[in-house]
Amino acid sequence: MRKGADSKPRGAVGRDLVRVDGVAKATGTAKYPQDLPLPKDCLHLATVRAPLARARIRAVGVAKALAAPGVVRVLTAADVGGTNRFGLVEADQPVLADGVVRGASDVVALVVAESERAAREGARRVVLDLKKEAPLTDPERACEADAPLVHPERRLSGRHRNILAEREIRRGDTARALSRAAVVVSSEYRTGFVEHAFLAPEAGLAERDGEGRLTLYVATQWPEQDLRQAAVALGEPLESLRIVQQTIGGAFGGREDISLQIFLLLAASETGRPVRMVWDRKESIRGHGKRHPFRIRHRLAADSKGRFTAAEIDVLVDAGCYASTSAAVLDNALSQGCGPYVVPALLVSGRTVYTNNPYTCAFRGFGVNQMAFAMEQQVNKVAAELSLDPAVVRRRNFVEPGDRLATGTKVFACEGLPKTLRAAETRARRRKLPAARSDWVYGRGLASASKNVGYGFGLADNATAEVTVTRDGAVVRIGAAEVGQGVETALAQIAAETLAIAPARVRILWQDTSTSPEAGSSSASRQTFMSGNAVLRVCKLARRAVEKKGGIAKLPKGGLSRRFTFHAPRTRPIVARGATQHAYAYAWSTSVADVRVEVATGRVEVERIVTALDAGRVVNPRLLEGQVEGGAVMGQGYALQEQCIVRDGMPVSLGFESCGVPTAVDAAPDIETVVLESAEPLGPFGARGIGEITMIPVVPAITAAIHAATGAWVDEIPATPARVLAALAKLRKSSSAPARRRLRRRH
Amino acid sequence: MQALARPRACVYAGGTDLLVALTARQPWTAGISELVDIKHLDAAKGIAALRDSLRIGALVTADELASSAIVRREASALAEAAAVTSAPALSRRGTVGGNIVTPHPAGDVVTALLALDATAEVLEDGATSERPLADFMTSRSRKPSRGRLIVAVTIRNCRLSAFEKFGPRAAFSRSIVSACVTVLDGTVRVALGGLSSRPFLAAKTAAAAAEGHPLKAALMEECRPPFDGRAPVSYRLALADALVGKALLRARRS
Amino acid sequence: MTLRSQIRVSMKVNGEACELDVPASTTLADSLRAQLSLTGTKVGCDVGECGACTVLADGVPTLGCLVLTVEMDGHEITTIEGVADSRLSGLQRAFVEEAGLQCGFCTPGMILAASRLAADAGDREIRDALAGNICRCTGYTKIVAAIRRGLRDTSHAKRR
Repeated sequence: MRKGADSKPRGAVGRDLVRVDGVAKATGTAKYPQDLPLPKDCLHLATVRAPLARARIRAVGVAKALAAPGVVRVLTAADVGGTNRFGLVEADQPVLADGVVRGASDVVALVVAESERAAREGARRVVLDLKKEAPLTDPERACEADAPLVHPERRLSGRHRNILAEREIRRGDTARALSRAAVVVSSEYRTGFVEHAFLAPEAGLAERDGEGRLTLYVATQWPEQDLRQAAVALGEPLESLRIVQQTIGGAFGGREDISLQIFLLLAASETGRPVRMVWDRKESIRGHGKRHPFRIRHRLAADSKGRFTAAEIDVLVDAGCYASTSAAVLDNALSQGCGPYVVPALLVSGRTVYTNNPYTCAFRGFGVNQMAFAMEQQVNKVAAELSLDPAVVRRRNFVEPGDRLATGTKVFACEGLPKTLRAAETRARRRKLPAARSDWVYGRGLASASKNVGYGFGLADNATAEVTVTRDGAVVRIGAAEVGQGVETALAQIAAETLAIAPARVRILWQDTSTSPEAGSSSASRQTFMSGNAVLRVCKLARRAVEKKGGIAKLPKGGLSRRFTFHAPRTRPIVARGATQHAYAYAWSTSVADVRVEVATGRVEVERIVTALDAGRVVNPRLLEGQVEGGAVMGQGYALQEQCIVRDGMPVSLGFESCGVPTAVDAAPDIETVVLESAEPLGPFGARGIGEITMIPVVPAITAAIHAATGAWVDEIPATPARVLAALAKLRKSSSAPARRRLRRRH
Repeated sequence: MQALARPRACVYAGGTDLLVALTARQPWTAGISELVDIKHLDAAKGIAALRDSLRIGALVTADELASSAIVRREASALAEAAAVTSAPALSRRGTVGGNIVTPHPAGDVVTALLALDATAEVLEDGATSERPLADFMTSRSRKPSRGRLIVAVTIRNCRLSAFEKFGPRAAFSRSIVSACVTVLDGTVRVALGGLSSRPFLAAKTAAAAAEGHPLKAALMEECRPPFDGRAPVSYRLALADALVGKALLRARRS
Repeated sequence: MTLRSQIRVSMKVNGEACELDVPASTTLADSLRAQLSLTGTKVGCDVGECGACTVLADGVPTLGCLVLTVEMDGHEITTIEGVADSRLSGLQRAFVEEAGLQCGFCTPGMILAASRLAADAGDREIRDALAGNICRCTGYTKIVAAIRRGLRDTSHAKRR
């Protein structure tokens, strides 16, 4: 195994550099949007939301609100200057609700006032005359031809009326393979709504800058995309809008969609004064999207040696009330639906449907978490049926360099995949599992996964960087949002390495859209690869130019500047049959989880997580470890305790506790990272993106560990104590002698 | 006390529930425009050892209960409940009195107090009276206490006691089900949280537990689990069964 | 106190005497942030569920969102801005060097919540002390490591 170009860290890449924003954050001087000082004559915004997920808006009574002390304006749909629609892919979401309420995130009116208190008081005085309608909350029902429509304006007909996207991928003859298989495992898996729960609630400030541009001070994953949507909504030229990013308090996909950006720009534009808005936690949970609930029907067939012969997978995904990126999530999920394995015959189908539930959006993993949970559990079930070691079954089926997944896409640089399995197993063996007791039983589970890097599917994916080299160092301008993942630091290291200067002399400027070129979103595990490549290439250009000039000492006072746009390698959409290329890079990982289960209550505690990750080339080992550990706990939460409960289309879990977010006491106390480096051929210095994969195999590793401990499979996550106990009870009642034997062995 | 009698006044102690309710503008706070801070009220402070009981001021915090040597020795279940009821900073503010008046199905400290045969010292219309704590567990709706103040509770010393909690997370969560078991004068008492609109004394369950009989039937009879979406009813009852069993075992051994 | 009334509060914040006129209903967190521009104390939920607003009140970790400013009359408050003078405190340095922070929003609260732990506090004790401080980014592993190191470093520094 190649451990990268050389295994000793050279220059800045590969070193444990302290993150560049660490001191500011540890001293409390880093400014998040809610920390900005208020400009003189600043106004404040408060939203008016309906208490329902579905209704007709008969009238919006603003008179009482306008009469309230301090209230300056009340804005409604009529005040939206351009087009009252926005959306990351489809512009199906109103800035301000016009005539109908489709979901909990809808805002009907904005109250603008002299103080926060006056704005909230004014909002309470707006009178909504609503005709309540029964919300469509069941995705299965939403598929039926006679279901009520969430978006009647879409003008789809027949059985497609609420179906946002539908896909199918076929290869070979699955029916034949299933009929001949030695073993067929058939199960249904379910996952629920989950809340991102980033720590800093949404906040922002908008005002006209010295050049007359409407400037938004905010925290967002993709500022240019926000402005493009805002320009259309406001009917303003894009050049007249500007975002200056502040410190971002976590994102995980929850800041990719517009939340309060257009509200602030609209109000600032209408009033001619600075405007501020801060959401509290409840509004934050209501106001942004959730992770997609999946229903997965999965059949996996194998021969007597555990080699997969066929898979039939059908997926139903709840898109909620607005499209957001749900079609892309469906594509992403189906693309890797059968995991990092060779499956000769395959039928993968799915649809994502509108409902009046909260809209679902990007969330670390982008659909792959759900599919990996199902596939890995199926793989483990096949192993159990055949009495084979789950690791052996995986090794027999892993894709190898040059292979194409059954979904048509080729996978790159996957030689590290089996190595992650071996490394995880080896590390895991260092700890002996305690013996079962009468009250607690112990188990260990394993799972592997792949995750694509970048948008893929033929979508435009670029990053542009500018560098100015002077005698003092280098300033790199690239609009890559630092959301906490450490990209600012990683890019500084890449620049320093390429320019052969000390990292302390590199400054990364990413905040201002008027001076930092577009890098694309901080999502899809893409920034290290895309922005890293842009920075690498622009610094190479600059270095060569400096050398041609005779060295840094010979540079004029203003230094030397270069600009470079890195275009992602070409990708292609999903095709129903045949070859395609969904992604330009993949990450690989295997996790092992040790759990203990309290037999009387079904409570599951995770005692240790081991993750072996093929990271390509590691830019900063300590920051990478941080991503592995953070992903592990997020995976643990997703597997065992996190859910945003939705009733009649409204989220009722409106806090950290009710959403089940893990505390320091919940989190596995022992998380071990094993890093492998087999270079990503197109990555900067061989690096690839790993922000999402860190979470993915942890979930099925935990459910596999529950099975190892108890003999029970839990096919629905979160595997709450109630669900685990129910699975145990079902197992006991089962007349299957092997099942009872397995249970007895454990106690 | 005069202040408390005013129509728009409300008692303010730790504020861990009241402030949250005021910020959220929960309907029951609509009539409150005045807070009466009682944290200086000496009669409501401190833990006093009496002959075979403890007098615990309503202002005593969960943190004080959990770290009190005398509570840990004489009524260990109460210290256990206080130790797991919330997180460190909150437990330094949350008071016994607040736990009593907050109408939540679970309330770890209250559950333990009930099992320890608590009586409440109540100040009303200038006079003090003693009432069983269970009398305060009937309120289903929230309302500010008008002119009535719980000053202290008195519990019976009980070295044979244990408290078990089950929440949706390993720490810092409102109990889904909690159980406190005490053995006082040879009689088993069981108090349950999360199985009705407020914590309550489960007499039938206690009787079954004392005899070593299965608890399921008694639990089904006595419990009215709330439909709050946190856990299915059948699961809550199974939990109660398990927790009472655990607590009884520990209580008898301690 | 009437909720809407203005009350004069005298307290010491980060060693300096402060006089504020605030409505009685204002929380300490809001006063620190808005009146004193000490925005290092964060508001993550406003209901005591996340710990991001943790400050020290008379040396004791306290939730700023669940304390009224008026209650702090005559008391001493330490915020993240007051944890060290010009250099970093032992805990701050440890958080930075051990990568115990990512997005940083929970960090001030974490540092203050940990600041009163004993120098030899073990992992279990540290985690219990942090039960009320939520982090979504780090998975807590490096936070615990940073605190262990920071407490040790602080204690060594004191002894010198």
